[in-house]
Amino acid sequence: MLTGFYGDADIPMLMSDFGVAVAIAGYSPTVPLIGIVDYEGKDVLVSQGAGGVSGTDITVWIQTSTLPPNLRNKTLMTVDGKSMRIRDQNQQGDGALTKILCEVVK
Amino acid sequence: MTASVRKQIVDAAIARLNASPPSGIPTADDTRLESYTPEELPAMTVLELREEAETEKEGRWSYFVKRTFTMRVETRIAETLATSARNTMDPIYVWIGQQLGGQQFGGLAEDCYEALLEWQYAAEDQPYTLLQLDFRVLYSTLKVDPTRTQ
Repeated sequence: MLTGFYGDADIPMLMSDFGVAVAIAGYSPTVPLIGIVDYEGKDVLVSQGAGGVSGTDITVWIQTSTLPPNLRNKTLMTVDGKSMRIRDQNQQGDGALTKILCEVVK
Repeated sequence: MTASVRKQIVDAAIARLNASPPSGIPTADDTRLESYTPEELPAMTVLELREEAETEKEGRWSYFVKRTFTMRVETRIAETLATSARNTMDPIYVWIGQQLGGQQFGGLAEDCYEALLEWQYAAEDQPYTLLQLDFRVLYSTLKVDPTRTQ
């Protein structure tokens, strides 16, 4: 059966092609974490059609089964060497992938 | 051609906001429609929002139109933590209030006061905050000429 999402067994192959190193504060996995990161521009705080702010959605896709249990938002993480903070997380499709929304820590 | 009294008031308001603002206070743009990049923040823009007018009744006919103009000052900031946004925004708000509150703009207006404040927030690559500060500006013009107050 064809599905619109990747199954758990397919994800490591996908990650090996596009993945970057991910580290989550306080979590030491047996296998290094890998995630696929997207930076997508998004205008926010627009009012009356006047100038808003050119923001960026930073999304990291990680295999759900590799994440620590009870991962909380606001946890610090490093994505491809950059310091980030989790601001939201949602499982996608069959739940095998988790989309983590991040903000940059300066 | 002489500018309308309303335009003169907006120009005067922007000039007051940009008259030697303290460190950390952005200069005001006039009706900026382009988005700001995060590096441009904090940023301020002044917009004309709405105006209501009515004839100033003094008898069967009046020479004057009494106007209530809403002028919006928008301030956008970026912060490393949303919890520090209030600390960053407050001095900007204070500066705006001190420069525009109670102003008559050299006799163009009768009064100018804060009428509505609204905050909006966005969590993206960093937290962003928008403060919309609406000033109600009371003024009058000749019914036959919006460039003249009398």
